[in-house]
Amino acid sequence: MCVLSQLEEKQYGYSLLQVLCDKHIAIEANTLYPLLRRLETQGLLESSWDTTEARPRKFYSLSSKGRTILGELATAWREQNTHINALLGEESYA
Amino acid sequence: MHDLITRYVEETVRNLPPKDRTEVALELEANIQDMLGGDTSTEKVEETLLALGSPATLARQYRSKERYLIGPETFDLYLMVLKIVSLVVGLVTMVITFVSMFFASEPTSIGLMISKVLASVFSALTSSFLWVTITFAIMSYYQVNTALEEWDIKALRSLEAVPTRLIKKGDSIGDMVGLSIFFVLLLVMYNRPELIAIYRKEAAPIPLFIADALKPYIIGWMVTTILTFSVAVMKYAKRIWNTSLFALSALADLLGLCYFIFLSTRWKIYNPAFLNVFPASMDRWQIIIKAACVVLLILTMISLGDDAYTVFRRTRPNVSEKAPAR
Repeated sequence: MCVLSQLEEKQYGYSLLQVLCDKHIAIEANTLYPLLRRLETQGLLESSWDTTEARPRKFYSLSSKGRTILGELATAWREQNTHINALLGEESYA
Repeated sequence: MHDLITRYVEETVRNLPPKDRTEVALELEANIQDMLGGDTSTEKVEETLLALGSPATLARQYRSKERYLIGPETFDLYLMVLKIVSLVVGLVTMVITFVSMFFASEPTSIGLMISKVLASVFSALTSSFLWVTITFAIMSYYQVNTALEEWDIKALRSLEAVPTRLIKKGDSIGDMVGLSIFFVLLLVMYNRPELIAIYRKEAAPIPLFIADALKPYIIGWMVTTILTFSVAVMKYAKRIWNTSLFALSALADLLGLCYFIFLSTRWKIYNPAFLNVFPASMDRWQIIIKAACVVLLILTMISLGDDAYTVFRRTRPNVSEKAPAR
Protein backbone atom coordinates (compact mmCIF):
# COMPACT_ATOMS: atom_id res chain seq x y z
CA MET A 1 0.00 0.00 0.00
CA CYS A 2 2.86 2.35 0.85
CA VAL A 3 4.44 1.59 -2.50
CA LEU A 4 1.20 2.08 -4.42
CA SER A 5 0.51 5.41 -2.69
CA GLN A 6 3.77 6.92 -3.98
CA LEU A 7 3.24 5.93 -7.60
CA GLU A 8 0.71 8.51 -8.75
CA GLU A 9 3.71 10.04 -10.47
CA LYS A 10 5.99 7.65 -12.25
CA GLN A 11 9.14 6.59 -10.45
CA TYR A 12 12.00 4.20 -11.05
CA GLY A 13 13.16 1.71 -8.47
CA TYR A 14 15.87 3.69 -6.72
CA SER A 15 14.00 7.03 -6.73
CA LEU A 16 10.99 5.34 -5.14
CA LEU A 17 13.26 3.82 -2.50
CA GLN A 18 14.51 7.29 -1.60
CA VAL A 19 11.03 8.83 -1.58
CA LEU A 20 9.84 6.12 0.84
CA CYS A 21 12.97 6.49 2.97
CA ASP A 22 12.43 10.27 3.25
CA LYS A 23 8.92 9.57 4.49
CA HIS A 24 10.21 7.17 7.18
CA ILE A 25 9.13 3.99 5.45
CA ALA A 26 12.15 1.70 5.62
CA ILE A 27 12.05 -0.88 2.87
CA GLU A 28 15.02 -2.89 1.65
CA ALA A 29 16.05 -2.60 -1.97
CA ASN A 30 15.94 -6.37 -2.33
CA THR A 31 12.30 -6.32 -1.22
CA LEU A 32 11.19 -3.33 -3.23
CA TYR A 33 12.52 -4.28 -6.68
CA PRO A 34 10.91 -7.71 -6.83
CA LEU A 35 7.74 -6.24 -5.28
CA LEU A 36 7.44 -3.69 -8.09
CA ARG A 37 7.71 -6.42 -10.65
CA ARG A 38 5.10 -8.58 -8.91
CA LEU A 39 2.68 -5.65 -8.65
CA GLU A 40 3.19 -5.11 -12.35
CA THR A 41 2.40 -8.75 -13.21
CA GLN A 42 -0.72 -8.44 -11.05
CA GLY A 43 -1.76 -5.49 -13.20
CA LEU A 44 -1.62 -2.89 -10.43
CA LEU A 45 1.28 -0.99 -11.99
CA GLU A 46 2.20 0.07 -15.50
CA SER A 47 5.79 0.33 -16.59
CA SER A 48 7.77 1.96 -19.35
CA TRP A 49 11.45 2.10 -20.24
CA ASP A 50 12.94 5.56 -20.45
CA THR A 51 15.93 5.51 -22.75
CA THR A 52 16.38 9.26 -23.21
CA GLU A 53 19.02 9.49 -20.49
CA ALA A 54 22.49 7.98 -20.46
CA ARG A 55 21.25 4.89 -18.65
CA PRO A 56 17.91 3.27 -19.49
CA ARG A 57 15.54 3.15 -16.53
CA LYS A 58 12.28 1.36 -15.96
CA PHE A 59 9.57 3.69 -14.68
CA TYR A 60 6.51 2.47 -12.82
CA SER A 61 3.17 4.20 -12.25
CA LEU A 62 -0.30 3.23 -10.98
CA SER A 63 -2.68 1.56 -13.41
CA SER A 64 -6.40 2.21 -13.10
CA LYS A 65 -6.82 -1.16 -11.39
CA GLY A 66 -4.00 -0.23 -9.02
CA ARG A 67 -5.74 3.03 -8.19
CA THR A 68 -8.97 1.21 -7.27
CA ILE A 69 -7.13 -1.33 -5.12
CA LEU A 70 -5.20 1.47 -3.39
CA GLY A 71 -8.47 3.17 -2.51
CA GLU A 72 -9.89 -0.04 -1.04
CA LEU A 73 -6.71 -0.77 0.90
CA ALA A 74 -6.62 2.75 2.31
CA THR A 75 -10.22 2.52 3.51
CA ALA A 76 -9.59 -0.85 5.14
CA TRP A 77 -6.40 0.48 6.75
CA ARG A 78 -8.13 3.56 8.22
CA GLU A 79 -10.93 1.40 9.63
CA GLN A 80 -8.46 -1.00 11.23
CA ASN A 81 -6.55 1.93 12.60
CA THR A 82 -9.66 3.40 14.22
CA HIS A 83 -10.45 0.09 15.88
CA ILE A 84 -6.92 -0.44 17.12
CA ASN A 85 -6.69 3.13 18.38
CA ALA A 86 -9.93 2.60 20.23
CA LEU A 87 -8.42 -0.49 21.87
CA LEU A 88 -5.31 1.37 22.89
CA GLY A 89 -7.39 4.34 24.10
CA GLU A 90 -9.14 2.14 26.68
CA GLU A 91 -5.88 1.90 28.59
CA SER A 92 -3.46 4.73 29.10
CA TYR A 93 -0.69 3.57 26.75
CA ALA A 94 -0.47 6.87 24.95
CA MET B 1 30.31 -2.06 -16.04
CA HIS B 2 31.93 -3.59 -12.98
CA ASP B 3 32.61 -7.28 -13.29
CA LEU B 4 31.05 -8.07 -9.90
CA ILE B 5 27.72 -6.53 -10.93
CA THR B 6 27.57 -8.58 -14.11
CA ARG B 7 28.20 -11.76 -12.14
CA TYR B 8 25.65 -10.82 -9.48
CA VAL B 9 22.93 -10.11 -12.06
CA GLU B 10 23.66 -13.29 -14.00
CA GLU B 11 23.59 -15.37 -10.84
CA THR B 12 20.21 -13.89 -9.88
CA VAL B 13 18.43 -14.34 -13.20
CA ARG B 14 19.82 -17.86 -13.62
CA ASN B 15 17.21 -18.95 -11.05
CA LEU B 16 14.30 -17.31 -12.87
CA PRO B 17 12.02 -18.54 -15.65
CA PRO B 18 13.68 -17.87 -19.05
CA LYS B 19 11.00 -15.43 -20.21
CA ASP B 20 11.67 -13.08 -17.26
CA ARG B 21 15.45 -13.18 -17.41
CA THR B 22 16.27 -10.37 -19.86
CA GLU B 23 13.81 -7.93 -18.37
CA VAL B 24 14.84 -8.54 -14.75
CA ALA B 25 18.53 -8.39 -15.67
CA LEU B 26 18.16 -4.97 -17.34
CA GLU B 27 16.09 -3.59 -14.50
CA LEU B 28 18.33 -4.94 -11.75
CA GLU B 29 21.39 -3.58 -13.48
CA ALA B 30 19.83 -0.11 -13.78
CA ASN B 31 18.79 -0.19 -10.12
CA ILE B 32 22.27 -1.19 -8.96
CA GLN B 33 23.79 1.62 -11.02
CA ASP B 34 21.35 4.04 -9.39
CA MET B 35 22.29 2.78 -5.94
CA LEU B 36 25.99 3.28 -6.72
CA GLY B 37 25.30 6.86 -7.70
CA GLY B 38 28.26 7.04 -10.08
CA ASP B 39 30.79 5.66 -7.60
CA THR B 40 32.16 2.53 -9.29
CA SER B 41 34.94 1.74 -6.82
CA THR B 42 35.13 -1.91 -5.84
CA GLU B 43 34.37 -1.10 -2.18
CA LYS B 44 31.15 0.72 -3.06
CA VAL B 45 30.07 -2.05 -5.42
CA GLU B 46 30.73 -4.69 -2.78
CA GLU B 47 28.82 -2.71 -0.18
CA THR B 48 25.81 -2.28 -2.48
CA LEU B 49 25.68 -5.93 -3.50
CA LEU B 50 25.97 -7.03 0.13
CA ALA B 51 23.00 -4.80 0.94
CA LEU B 52 20.97 -6.53 -1.79
CA GLY B 53 21.61 -9.95 -0.25
CA SER B 54 22.34 -13.29 -1.85
CA PRO B 55 21.31 -13.76 -5.50
CA ALA B 56 19.34 -16.90 -4.59
CA THR B 57 17.23 -15.00 -2.03
CA LEU B 58 16.65 -12.14 -4.43
CA ALA B 59 15.58 -14.56 -7.17
CA ARG B 60 13.14 -16.18 -4.74
CA GLN B 61 11.59 -12.75 -4.12
CA TYR B 62 11.22 -12.24 -7.86
CA ARG B 63 9.58 -15.63 -8.28
CA SER B 64 7.22 -14.76 -5.41
CA LYS B 65 6.20 -18.33 -4.76
CA GLU B 66 8.10 -21.11 -3.11
CA ARG B 67 8.89 -24.17 -5.12
CA TYR B 68 8.38 -27.69 -3.82
CA LEU B 69 8.77 -31.15 -5.17
CA ILE B 70 5.68 -32.05 -3.17
CA GLY B 71 3.76 -29.15 -1.65
CA PRO B 72 2.77 -28.98 2.02
CA GLU B 73 -0.92 -29.36 1.16
CA THR B 74 -0.39 -32.70 -0.59
CA PHE B 75 2.30 -34.07 1.69
CA ASP B 76 -0.03 -35.95 4.08
CA LEU B 77 -1.84 -37.59 1.19
CA TYR B 78 1.53 -38.44 -0.35
CA LEU B 79 2.66 -40.18 2.84
CA MET B 80 -0.61 -42.10 3.06
CA VAL B 81 -0.45 -43.30 -0.54
CA LEU B 82 3.21 -44.17 -0.12
CA LYS B 83 2.42 -46.31 2.95
CA ILE B 84 -0.41 -48.20 1.25
CA VAL B 85 1.52 -48.73 -1.96
CA SER B 86 4.67 -49.96 -0.23
CA LEU B 87 2.71 -52.29 2.02
CA VAL B 88 0.65 -53.79 -0.79
CA VAL B 89 3.48 -53.96 -3.30
CA GLY B 90 5.87 -55.40 -0.71
CA LEU B 91 3.51 -58.15 0.44
CA VAL B 92 2.40 -59.03 -3.07
CA THR B 93 5.95 -59.23 -4.37
CA MET B 94 6.92 -61.41 -1.43
CA VAL B 95 4.07 -63.86 -1.97
CA ILE B 96 4.57 -64.04 -5.71
CA THR B 97 8.32 -64.56 -5.45
CA PHE B 98 7.77 -67.36 -2.93
CA VAL B 99 5.14 -69.04 -5.04
CA SER B 100 7.18 -68.76 -8.22
CA MET B 101 10.13 -70.36 -6.46
CA PHE B 102 8.06 -73.41 -5.60
CA PHE B 103 7.39 -73.86 -9.28
CA ALA B 104 11.03 -73.33 -10.21
CA SER B 105 12.63 -76.40 -11.71
CA GLU B 106 16.03 -76.38 -10.01
CA PRO B 107 16.17 -76.79 -6.21
CA THR B 108 17.52 -73.87 -4.15
CA SER B 109 18.79 -73.43 -0.60
CA ILE B 110 16.80 -71.54 2.05
CA GLY B 111 19.42 -68.78 2.23
CA LEU B 112 19.25 -68.23 -1.51
CA MET B 113 15.45 -68.19 -1.39
CA ILE B 114 15.38 -65.54 1.35
CA SER B 115 17.93 -63.35 -0.40
CA LYS B 116 15.99 -63.68 -3.65
CA VAL B 117 12.76 -62.61 -1.93
CA LEU B 118 14.49 -59.70 -0.19
CA ALA B 119 16.04 -58.54 -3.44
CA SER B 120 12.80 -58.59 -5.38
CA VAL B 121 10.89 -56.90 -2.53
CA PHE B 122 13.56 -54.21 -2.34
CA SER B 123 13.50 -53.52 -6.07
CA ALA B 124 9.68 -53.48 -6.11
CA LEU B 125 9.63 -51.02 -3.20
CA THR B 126 12.19 -48.74 -4.80
CA SER B 127 10.33 -48.53 -8.05
CA SER B 128 6.96 -47.97 -6.37
CA PHE B 129 8.52 -45.19 -4.27
CA LEU B 130 9.88 -43.65 -7.45
CA TRP B 131 6.55 -43.78 -9.27
CA VAL B 132 4.46 -42.47 -6.39
CA THR B 133 6.90 -39.60 -5.93
CA ILE B 134 6.97 -38.77 -9.64
CA THR B 135 3.17 -38.81 -9.81
CA PHE B 136 2.87 -36.46 -6.84
CA ALA B 137 5.63 -34.18 -8.10
CA ILE B 138 3.77 -33.82 -11.41
CA MET B 139 0.52 -33.16 -9.52
CA SER B 140 2.24 -30.49 -7.42
CA TYR B 141 3.78 -28.91 -10.50
CA TYR B 142 0.42 -28.56 -12.21
CA GLN B 143 -1.25 -27.72 -8.89
CA VAL B 144 -3.83 -30.48 -9.07
CA ASN B 145 -6.40 -30.01 -6.32
CA THR B 146 -6.13 -33.01 -4.03
CA ALA B 147 -8.81 -32.05 -1.53
CA LEU B 148 -11.52 -34.54 -2.44
CA GLU B 149 -14.36 -32.37 -1.25
CA GLU B 150 -14.88 -29.05 0.50
CA TRP B 151 -14.64 -29.45 4.22
CA ASP B 152 -17.73 -28.53 6.19
CA ILE B 153 -19.16 -29.07 9.63
CA LYS B 154 -20.99 -32.20 8.46
CA ALA B 155 -17.65 -34.00 8.24
CA LEU B 156 -17.07 -33.28 11.91
CA ARG B 157 -20.53 -34.50 12.90
CA SER B 158 -20.08 -37.81 11.13
CA LEU B 159 -16.68 -38.17 12.79
CA GLU B 160 -17.84 -37.77 16.33
CA ALA B 161 -20.59 -40.34 15.78
CA VAL B 162 -19.76 -43.84 16.92
CA PRO B 163 -16.34 -45.44 16.82
CA THR B 164 -17.90 -48.87 16.29
CA ARG B 165 -18.35 -48.08 12.61
CA LEU B 166 -14.58 -47.95 12.10
CA ILE B 167 -13.25 -50.02 9.26
CA LYS B 168 -10.22 -51.92 10.46
CA LYS B 169 -7.07 -50.82 8.65
CA GLY B 170 -5.85 -54.39 8.52
CA ASP B 171 -9.02 -55.52 6.76
CA SER B 172 -8.69 -53.00 3.95
CA ILE B 173 -5.00 -53.72 3.50
CA GLY B 174 -5.72 -57.44 3.53
CA ASP B 175 -8.31 -56.85 0.81
CA MET B 176 -5.83 -54.88 -1.25
CA VAL B 177 -3.09 -57.47 -0.94
CA GLY B 178 -5.47 -60.34 -1.69
CA LEU B 179 -6.95 -58.59 -4.69
CA SER B 180 -3.51 -57.68 -6.07
CA ILE B 181 -2.34 -61.27 -5.83
CA PHE B 182 -5.58 -62.38 -7.44
CA PHE B 183 -5.06 -59.86 -10.22
CA VAL B 184 -1.58 -61.24 -10.91
CA LEU B 185 -3.08 -64.73 -11.01
CA LEU B 186 -5.62 -63.51 -13.55
CA LEU B 187 -2.79 -62.06 -15.63
CA VAL B 188 -1.03 -65.42 -15.53
CA MET B 189 -4.29 -67.15 -16.45
CA TYR B 190 -4.76 -64.78 -19.34
CA ASN B 191 -1.29 -65.38 -20.74
CA ARG B 192 -0.86 -69.07 -19.91
CA PRO B 193 -4.33 -70.61 -19.36
CA GLU B 194 -2.86 -74.06 -19.99
CA LEU B 195 -0.95 -73.90 -16.67
CA ILE B 196 -4.07 -74.80 -14.72
CA ALA B 197 -4.17 -78.47 -15.50
CA ILE B 198 -3.83 -81.95 -14.22
CA TYR B 199 -0.20 -82.96 -14.20
CA ARG B 200 0.48 -86.66 -14.40
CA LYS B 201 3.63 -88.61 -14.68
CA GLU B 202 4.46 -89.88 -18.16
CA ALA B 203 1.64 -88.00 -19.84
CA ALA B 204 0.98 -84.55 -21.20
CA PRO B 205 -0.88 -82.27 -18.72
CA ILE B 206 -4.59 -81.86 -19.39
CA PRO B 207 -5.61 -78.20 -19.09
CA LEU B 208 -8.82 -77.36 -17.24
CA PHE B 209 -9.89 -74.63 -19.64
CA ILE B 210 -10.08 -74.10 -23.36
CA ALA B 211 -7.75 -71.14 -23.74
CA ASP B 212 -9.47 -69.29 -26.57
CA ALA B 213 -12.90 -69.55 -24.97
CA LEU B 214 -11.66 -68.36 -21.58
CA LYS B 215 -9.52 -65.36 -22.55
CA PRO B 216 -12.25 -62.79 -23.31
CA TYR B 217 -13.97 -63.54 -19.98
CA ILE B 218 -10.80 -62.96 -17.99
CA ILE B 219 -10.61 -59.34 -19.10
CA GLY B 220 -14.04 -58.73 -17.58
CA TRP B 221 -12.90 -60.42 -14.42
CA MET B 222 -9.88 -58.12 -14.25
CA VAL B 223 -12.19 -55.11 -14.51
CA THR B 224 -14.36 -56.27 -11.61
CA THR B 225 -11.20 -56.99 -9.59
CA ILE B 226 -9.91 -53.47 -10.20
CA LEU B 227 -13.30 -52.11 -9.15
CA THR B 228 -13.25 -54.08 -5.89
CA PHE B 229 -9.67 -52.95 -5.34
CA SER B 230 -10.65 -49.27 -5.67
CA VAL B 231 -13.43 -49.82 -3.14
CA ALA B 232 -10.84 -51.29 -0.75
CA VAL B 233 -8.66 -48.20 -1.25
CA MET B 234 -11.66 -45.99 -0.51
CA LYS B 235 -12.43 -47.96 2.62
CA TYR B 236 -8.86 -47.47 3.75
CA ALA B 237 -9.00 -43.72 3.08
CA LYS B 238 -12.39 -43.11 4.74
CA ARG B 239 -11.84 -45.42 7.71
CA ILE B 240 -15.47 -45.18 8.72
CA TRP B 241 -18.53 -46.81 7.22
CA ASN B 242 -21.19 -44.60 5.74
CA THR B 243 -24.21 -45.45 3.70
CA SER B 244 -22.80 -44.58 0.30
CA LEU B 245 -19.54 -46.39 1.00
CA PHE B 246 -21.50 -49.46 2.04
CA ALA B 247 -23.63 -49.25 -1.11
CA LEU B 248 -20.51 -49.04 -3.25
CA SER B 249 -18.82 -51.89 -1.44
CA ALA B 250 -21.92 -54.07 -1.68
CA LEU B 251 -22.30 -53.23 -5.36
CA ALA B 252 -18.68 -54.18 -6.08
CA ASP B 253 -18.99 -57.45 -4.14
CA LEU B 254 -22.24 -58.42 -5.87
CA LEU B 255 -20.88 -57.48 -9.26
CA GLY B 256 -17.81 -59.64 -8.68
CA LEU B 257 -19.99 -62.51 -7.52
CA CYS B 258 -22.42 -62.23 -10.44
CA TYR B 259 -19.52 -62.15 -12.84
CA PHE B 260 -18.00 -65.23 -11.25
CA ILE B 261 -21.30 -67.10 -11.49
CA PHE B 262 -21.75 -65.94 -15.06
CA LEU B 263 -18.23 -67.08 -15.94
CA SER B 264 -18.29 -70.44 -14.22
CA THR B 265 -21.55 -71.40 -15.87
CA ARG B 266 -20.21 -70.76 -19.40
CA TRP B 267 -19.87 -74.49 -20.05
CA LYS B 268 -17.92 -74.08 -23.26
CA ILE B 269 -14.81 -72.81 -21.43
CA TYR B 270 -14.19 -76.17 -19.78
CA ASN B 271 -12.05 -78.70 -21.50
CA PRO B 272 -14.06 -81.91 -22.10
CA ALA B 273 -10.86 -83.94 -21.88
CA PHE B 274 -10.32 -82.63 -18.36
CA LEU B 275 -13.84 -83.53 -17.29
CA ASN B 276 -13.45 -87.04 -18.67
CA VAL B 277 -10.66 -87.72 -16.18
CA PHE B 278 -13.24 -87.87 -13.43
CA PRO B 279 -15.87 -90.55 -13.40
CA ALA B 280 -18.72 -88.06 -13.53
CA SER B 281 -21.06 -86.98 -16.28
CA MET B 282 -21.33 -83.42 -17.54
CA ASP B 283 -24.62 -83.05 -15.66
CA ARG B 284 -23.03 -84.00 -12.35
CA TRP B 285 -20.21 -81.56 -13.06
CA GLN B 286 -22.65 -78.74 -13.72
CA ILE B 287 -24.49 -79.46 -10.48
CA ILE B 288 -21.22 -79.28 -8.53
CA ILE B 289 -20.38 -75.90 -10.03
CA LYS B 290 -23.87 -74.54 -9.43
CA ALA B 291 -23.72 -75.72 -5.81
CA ALA B 292 -20.36 -73.99 -5.39
CA CYS B 293 -21.93 -70.79 -6.77
CA VAL B 294 -24.79 -71.01 -4.30
CA VAL B 295 -22.38 -71.50 -1.39
CA LEU B 296 -20.39 -68.50 -2.58
CA LEU B 297 -23.60 -66.47 -2.87
CA ILE B 298 -24.58 -67.36 0.69
CA LEU B 299 -21.12 -66.47 2.01
CA THR B 300 -21.20 -63.09 0.24
CA MET B 301 -24.67 -62.41 1.61
CA ILE B 302 -23.53 -63.20 5.15
CA SER B 303 -20.55 -60.87 4.82
CA LEU B 304 -22.76 -58.12 3.34
CA GLY B 305 -25.31 -58.65 6.10
CA ASP B 306 -22.59 -58.26 8.69
CA ASP B 307 -21.42 -55.01 7.09
CA ALA B 308 -25.01 -53.79 6.79
CA TYR B 309 -25.58 -54.51 10.48
CA THR B 310 -22.49 -52.45 11.34
CA VAL B 311 -23.56 -49.57 9.12
CA PHE B 312 -27.29 -49.27 9.78
CA ARG B 313 -27.76 -50.64 13.26
CA ARG B 314 -25.03 -48.50 14.72
CA THR B 315 -25.59 -45.37 12.68
CA ARG B 316 -28.25 -44.20 15.08
CA PRO B 317 -26.83 -44.63 18.55
CA ASN B 318 -29.12 -44.68 21.48
CA VAL B 319 -29.38 -41.08 22.63
CA SER B 320 -29.59 -41.91 26.33
CA GLU B 321 -26.29 -43.77 26.12
CA LYS B 322 -24.53 -40.66 24.91
CA ALA B 323 -25.87 -38.39 27.61
CA PRO B 324 -23.39 -37.86 30.40
CA ALA B 325 -24.20 -39.64 33.63
CA ARG B 326 -25.49 -37.45 36.41
